[in-house]
Parts: sequence; structure tokens; C-alpha cells
Amino acid sequence: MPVILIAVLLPTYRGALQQAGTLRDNATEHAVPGFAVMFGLMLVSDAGTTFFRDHSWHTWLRLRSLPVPMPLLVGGKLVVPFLLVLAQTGAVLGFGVLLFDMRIRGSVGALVVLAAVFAAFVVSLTFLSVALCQTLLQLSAVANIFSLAIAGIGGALVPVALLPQPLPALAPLTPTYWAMRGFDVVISDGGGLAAVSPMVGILLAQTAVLGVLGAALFRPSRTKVGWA
Amino acid sequence: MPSSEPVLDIDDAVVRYGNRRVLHGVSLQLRAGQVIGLIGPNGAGKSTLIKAIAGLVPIESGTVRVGGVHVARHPVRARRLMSVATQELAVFPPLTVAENVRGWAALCGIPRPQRHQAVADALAAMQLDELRDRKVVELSGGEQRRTHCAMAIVARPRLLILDEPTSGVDPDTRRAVLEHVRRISATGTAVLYSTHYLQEVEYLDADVLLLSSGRIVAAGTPSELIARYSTATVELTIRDRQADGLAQPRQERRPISDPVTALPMLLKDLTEESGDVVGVAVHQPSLEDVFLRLTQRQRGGSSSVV
Repeated sequence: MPVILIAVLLPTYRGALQQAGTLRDNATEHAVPGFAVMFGLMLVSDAGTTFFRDHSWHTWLRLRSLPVPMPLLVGGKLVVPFLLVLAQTGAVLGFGVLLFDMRIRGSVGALVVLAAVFAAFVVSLTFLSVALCQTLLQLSAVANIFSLAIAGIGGALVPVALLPQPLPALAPLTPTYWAMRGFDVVISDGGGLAAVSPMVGILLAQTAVLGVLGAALFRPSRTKVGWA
Repeated sequence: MPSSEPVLDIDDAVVRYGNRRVLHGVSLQLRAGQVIGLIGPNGAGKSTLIKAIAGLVPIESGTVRVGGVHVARHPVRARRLMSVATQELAVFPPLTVAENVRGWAALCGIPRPQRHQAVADALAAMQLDELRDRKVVELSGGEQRRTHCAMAIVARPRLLILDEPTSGVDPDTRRAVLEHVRRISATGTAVLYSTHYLQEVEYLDADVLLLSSGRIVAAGTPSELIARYSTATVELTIRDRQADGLAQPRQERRPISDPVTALPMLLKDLTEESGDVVGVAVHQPSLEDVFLRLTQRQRGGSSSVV
């Protein structure tokens, strides 16, 4: 889906970036990471479903009876979503290079680190969403609205410079802003690990805040409603 | 035979859901090789007791120890010694039977070299060999229940807790489950077996724990409970001497403590006093009679604890 959207919307992006005077290459340098970030955030709902599915199958109570500490149990359930987000981000960036002539000027290693930290943020957001929501419908609504909102405000859809006021001022509060800045530094500016470390640090801090909030609010014994 | 050291030791456990007390000071000891049949009406607190043992609900007061390990303080260590098959069917539908059992064995921490044999044994015990490669979602309810039980037994725990394992299964499956419980208890596993089918408790030769409204209202072997709480009755058909020949014989039911010795005397007295006894049927009390008597008494407001 992100690849199709990139193909369809690339000319629009090109025009918009040209008008804003921020076009560097062929607009792929914004469109490809933008869609990678937005679709990564959209996995929050799918990732959270794994918890609700366990409630529907009654396997959550059974899993809790295992000789496994709760952080390990939750962590184990979040490993697959982490890898999924990482793989999807990698695939979108890869297709960007192969199909849309996106040029990566900087370090691929830095890109991988950035993608991994972004995946960690998505997982952390997933955990917080699961902790907050009681039903799968709530999760789906909250995750999709929140993901699209922070994708938009953070500049994953259109560059922050093109956003109406006061959204550009709010953009640095979102993780998408720092992820997009990081991708921009590597892809367009040719930056390496050192250059993206501030963005990585901020993303990690946001990940930690959400993770701590999630841990504080998560109640393992609270029954959730899946598909019923 | 059960050994002296309890595998499960519950002392005065109280569990509360919000403002409602659901377990009122339950105490229980279960030894290696012993089977306890946990019975009681719906809402008696059986599943809550099981959850309390597994550390899945907090205990307000009292203690639960499994293999000497304090469950509330060291839940992970305690859970290494036990395995719980919850009342609700808890399987992973998209996986095959073997994947469910193998995956569970891995999660229970069974080392890889022993895992293959443990899975094979659990599948065989629940007669799942032929279904091992079928996805659970394609199976009948009874077959899924067998998979559910196989996951519980694969870890070969010291304490096995089965919460209504034969609910909704056919007689073959029920027999397989019961036979396995008998086999593993003979090898030293302590089993807490919750059920609504009282004949299963008798079949397992289990000790009985009758829970009602969160209290233990009776504990002992089935024969002890029957002797303690119920008496045999004799149903007599009597033709009155004074009645004319067309009158129907009347029926009378009387409690009788020991039919073998007391019945001849009763018949002699009745014959002398009122008429000819033309029919006699002795009704031996069952565990069900005890169950009904004690749980009805509990519902009626009495809270006697045995």
C-alpha cells in the first residue's frame, strides 16, 4: 500500500515541494520516508490486536499462569511487532531506492539504527494503547486517529514547512518529526550515525516515556474485549 | 499413596473482588499423589480458588504455598511447579495441535532434548496422535478440549490443576482425561480437579472439597461425607390391615442408618403395627445427596464450616 501511494502521489509531492522551495532530489527523499513512517505508525492497531486476540482466545489468563515474569511475557509479545515495523520500514525504503530512484547519500547503518529506534517507538506506543484501551474497537479508533495525527503534525504526510499555523510549532513534540528529520539527515544530507544521534536520542526518550506510562497503566488482570 | 509433605498448602486464604468477598478463609492441603475433587455450585468460588493458587488473583489475607514456595512472593518460582488448565478453553486456533503443545512446552521451560518426548507423551495421553497436524480451529470442541488438557500436562508438573476439564466432551474423551489423572497421580503428581460431575470424583477415588459461597462446607472422602451428611432411606409400600381390598397400598419413606441390621426390625414392627409390607426399596445415599443437602443449606443462610 505505501508503495502504491508513493507512485500515485509522487508528482503531487514534487509540485508541492517545488512550490515551497524545499525540493532536493525528485521528492522521493520526502515521500518515501514519510510513507514509511506513517504506515509504521498504522501498525500500532495490528500490533495491539495480538493482546486482544489472547483475551478472545482465553489464552491471556493461561499465559499469565506460565512461569514467566510479566515484563518478559509482554516483551515477548512485542518482539514480533517490532520486527514487523522494522521490516516494513526497510521494505518501503528499499522499494524507494529500487523503484523510485531514491538516493541515500548517508550511512545505511545510521538508517537502520533510525528505523530500529522508530520501530521501538511504535512498539512503545502500542503498549501504551493496549494499556489504555478496554476493547479492540477502542484500540483501533485511538491508534488510527493518533497515528494519523502525529504523522500529519510531524511532517510525514507533507513537509512541516507547508503545514498551517500553529502546527509547525507543535511538530517537534511528535516522534514523527524527529524520525523525518533523521531520515532527511541521512538520505538528503549524507549524514551518519553521529549526525542522527540527537534525533535518535529524542526518539529514544519519547519511547521511554511512553513505555514507562504503559507499564504504569497496564493491568495484566484486567479483562479486555476482543472480537466479541 | 500421598506422602506427608504437602505440595499445595493453603492457609486461611481470603480473596475479594472489589467490595465482595469471594473466598472466606479457605484452607487446604494437597499432597503428592493425592487427587482432590473440587466441587461446588456455580459461583461457589472454585475458579477463583484456582486463580488464587496460580497467583492470578491477589489474596487479601492468608497464604498459598506450592512445593513450599510462597505464591504471592515468588509467583514465577511457584508456577514452575504447577500447571493450570483453566475452565475456559485456551488454545491457539491458527496453530496445529502439535504446535500448541510443543509451543507450550517451550514456554514452560522444558529443555529441548526432553521436549519431543514430553510432547509425544502428552499427545498420546489425550489421544491426539492422529490429530497432531490438524489446525486447532478445524477441530471439534471436544478435540480442542483435549488439546487444552495436553498443554496442561506436557510440563509434567508437581501440581496439576484442572478446572472442569471434561466440560462439553464426549464419554471417550472424559475417560481419557480421567484415566490420565489416575495414572499421573499414581506417579506422584498432586491433582486438584474441579468438576460438576460428581461421579468423576468417585471414579478418581479422590478426596472431596465442597465449596459453597466461597467457604469449604465439607471435606473428606466420598464415603466419609456420605456417612457424615446423609443417611440411607427405605421406601416402603404398605397395605393397611383395616383397609378394604380395593384400597391402594400407601407408600412411605423413612431414613435408615444401617439397612442391613435395621431393616428386618423395621419390617417386623410395621407388619405388627399397621399392615403388610408389600414392597421395599432401599435408597443408598450418594455424593450428589450430600452436595444438594449442603449447598441448599448454605444457600438457605447457614454458614457452617467443616
